[in-house]
Amino acid sequence: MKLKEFCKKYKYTFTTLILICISIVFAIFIFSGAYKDLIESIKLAFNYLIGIFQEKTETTIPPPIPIIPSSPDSGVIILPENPAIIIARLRIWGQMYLTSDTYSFFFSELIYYAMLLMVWSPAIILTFILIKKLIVAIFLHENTKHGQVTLPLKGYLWVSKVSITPSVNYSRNWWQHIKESKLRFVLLIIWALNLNIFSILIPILPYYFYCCFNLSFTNFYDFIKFELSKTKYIFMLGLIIIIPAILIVIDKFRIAYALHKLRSFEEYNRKVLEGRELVTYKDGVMGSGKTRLMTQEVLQESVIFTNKAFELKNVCKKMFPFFPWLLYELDIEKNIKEKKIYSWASAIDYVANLEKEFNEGTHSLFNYNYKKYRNTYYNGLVNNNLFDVLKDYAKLHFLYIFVGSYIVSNYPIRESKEMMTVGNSVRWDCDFFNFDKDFEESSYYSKILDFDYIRMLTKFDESPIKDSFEFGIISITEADKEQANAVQTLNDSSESPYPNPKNDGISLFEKFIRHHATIMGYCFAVIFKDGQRAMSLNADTREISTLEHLQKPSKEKNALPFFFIEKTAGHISNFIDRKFLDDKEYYRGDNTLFYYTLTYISAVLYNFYYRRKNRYGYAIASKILEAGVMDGKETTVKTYLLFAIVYADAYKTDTHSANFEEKSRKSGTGILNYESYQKTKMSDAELDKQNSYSGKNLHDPDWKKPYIEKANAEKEEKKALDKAKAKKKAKEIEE
Amino acid sequence: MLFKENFKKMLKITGIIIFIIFLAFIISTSVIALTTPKNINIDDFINCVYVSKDSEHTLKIVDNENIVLSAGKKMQKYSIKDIEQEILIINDKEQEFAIKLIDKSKIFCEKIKGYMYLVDKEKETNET
Repeated sequence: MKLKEFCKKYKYTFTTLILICISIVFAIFIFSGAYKDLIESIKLAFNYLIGIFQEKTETTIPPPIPIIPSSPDSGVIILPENPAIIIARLRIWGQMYLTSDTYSFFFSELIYYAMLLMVWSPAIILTFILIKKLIVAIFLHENTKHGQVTLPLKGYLWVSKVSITPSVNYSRNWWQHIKESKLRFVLLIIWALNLNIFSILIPILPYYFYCCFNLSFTNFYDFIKFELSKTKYIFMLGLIIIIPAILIVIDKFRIAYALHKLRSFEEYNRKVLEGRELVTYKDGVMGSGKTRLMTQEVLQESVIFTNKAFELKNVCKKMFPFFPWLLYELDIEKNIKEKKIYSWASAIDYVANLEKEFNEGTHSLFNYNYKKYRNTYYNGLVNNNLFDVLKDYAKLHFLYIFVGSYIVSNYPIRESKEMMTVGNSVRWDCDFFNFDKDFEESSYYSKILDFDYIRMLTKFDESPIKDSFEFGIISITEADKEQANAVQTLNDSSESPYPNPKNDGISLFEKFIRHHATIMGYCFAVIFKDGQRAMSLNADTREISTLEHLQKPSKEKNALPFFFIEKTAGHISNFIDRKFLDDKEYYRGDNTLFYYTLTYISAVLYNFYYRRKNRYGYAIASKILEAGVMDGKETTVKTYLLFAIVYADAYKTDTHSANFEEKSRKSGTGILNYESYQKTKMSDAELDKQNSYSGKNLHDPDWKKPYIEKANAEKEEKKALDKAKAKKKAKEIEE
Repeated sequence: MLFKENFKKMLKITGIIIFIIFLAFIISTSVIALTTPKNINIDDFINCVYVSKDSEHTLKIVDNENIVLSAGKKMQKYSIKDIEQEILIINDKEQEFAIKLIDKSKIFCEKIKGYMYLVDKEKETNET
């Protein structure tokens, strides 16, 4: 039993050991020549190193290159012994372009193959049609055997269950295991030796140093020839391994290029954001992507805050370079855990207490030798006191290690960032394009915006908690519905006993925000809003904002070079669906092996396309900036909409859907139960069922009368009731 | 607008096709110029006579060491300096030149900056 458990526990290690043994067998019986090559390479590298120090004379003998036999076994790319042959080839290559015959040969061949294609294409099309007909005849037997599985598919599923699936799962698990195991280095080293990688790499650096002093075409040619000859074991693997390996390497380059491009777009966006005003209001037609762009900017602003806090912390560190900052940070973190520090104000109190204790001699200030390293810093203009700097640092560190989101919004936003620490200082991985982050662990949801936090005058709840907002990124979607204009708030006044846009003081909060969110001159607060129309906002709120009129973004683009490869895969998948699977869905109710295979291929191809489209996709958006006073001066700013940021479950465009779903649920009915017209000519009864103003006007021009009469009657009744109440009250007072 | 869109699309497709043809041309020419054709053996070319397109020049590979190149009525013998793979380096008073053996039917001569084609061996021998 114990042995079984032991085997189970170390099964992947055993697999790795078996693979190592197999690799060693390969090394002995197949790749033994590679080890001789390694000795040759070491000798050559050594000769090059000696060659550097040899005095250069006309008779200096270049380091001997091991003799390479000019046989096909010496490598796939065989270079001639004499470098003049290569030069001659290059000369001839150039001359070929100046000869008309080269063009004649090429175009006559091109025409020949085009003709061949033209001749064959009807046959190809015919074959395809025949195959399609054959498939229809063989596989598209109409049936309604819902959910039944054919015998071949059953057989395949059984084979897959006992062999393919366990093997694939085992291989995947082993791969995960080996990625973390140290045994991977042993495997890597053995195969690097087997494939002559070390023999290729070892002489490169010595040759580089050698050629710095003795560069000549001959020795360069000899070196390249030597290097190419050492590739023979790589080519021994065969095209079945080499081609996929090359494709994987090319793909890695494509991905690296795409990520670099997206990161530069993101950096550009951040530079644009850094020049923004404190309050911005985005407007645009429905579907122009206001909330989408606002969410992206909010997420990028969060990264800006993190980076800025880190940058300013470093400025503080440079003022007092020998202060034990790490101990100070750890003490702040301890206080945060003990809930003694929970805001900037409490952080200031903590430093004030520290100063008091230090002055009283009860705190060593983390053993800082202030007599040697000073407790003031002259910045060229004024002296900064150590404790003032510590206050700023405490606030910055509180902001930096803040485990949560700085975003306070009226719709949910998901931030993706990962805290990294080995027990000392803390780092954040805020890279939007690191797709390996753990979704659960790296998700931080925005804080619920209680509008009372930003109301400075009349609030729903006058509790002191509502005055706690110090810093953060405020994001308000549909802000025009919240801070409505004069027409929409006609019945409200600044004297109203309830909060409303005329008496809540939100715009006052916006004007004062800089005063409570600034550290070392940088304001850690910003407000983003969006809405349909700029004029729907009340004048005060609008005029302190920068208006951003959004234009419709460009067509979707992709940062991956040669994205047509993925697009083609997507087209093939759609083609399979259209030509085969849709018909299958229509005609057959059962499941067959043929369609199972097609479905699998279609899904693999589509995933290849769709995932990359999402990861590396972007669009170019532009916004016209205008001051809230609307004085007519406009600037157009380009911005990149990055799908990896906004479509990574950052927000939901249908964020209010729960409310509407609930209403629909309560209604107990749906579109299925709506009445239909009976003909294309509408009946009078059908018009009446529309409850439309124009319909009612047509039907009965006096349709408003009963409503007015009813309302007047209710008013009269209410008046009478009020009168009676007043009379009763007066009587009571009299009594 | 629709015409403009379609025209743009057509232009793009034409551009892509031209680019592919251009790429294919560059690749095929470099393959011919820079690679060694399979089964090239100098012995198969001995005594073969090649003539340029304008029939101005005639070249005969006499043996492994010599070639004869004639321009009009002027005939000159050159010695082969080096033979490797499919390239012949020929000694010349002015400057060395190369001959590339493409296949049995044609070669490229650097001296005349063009292709030379195999002429009927017997006919040529009789003329000589």
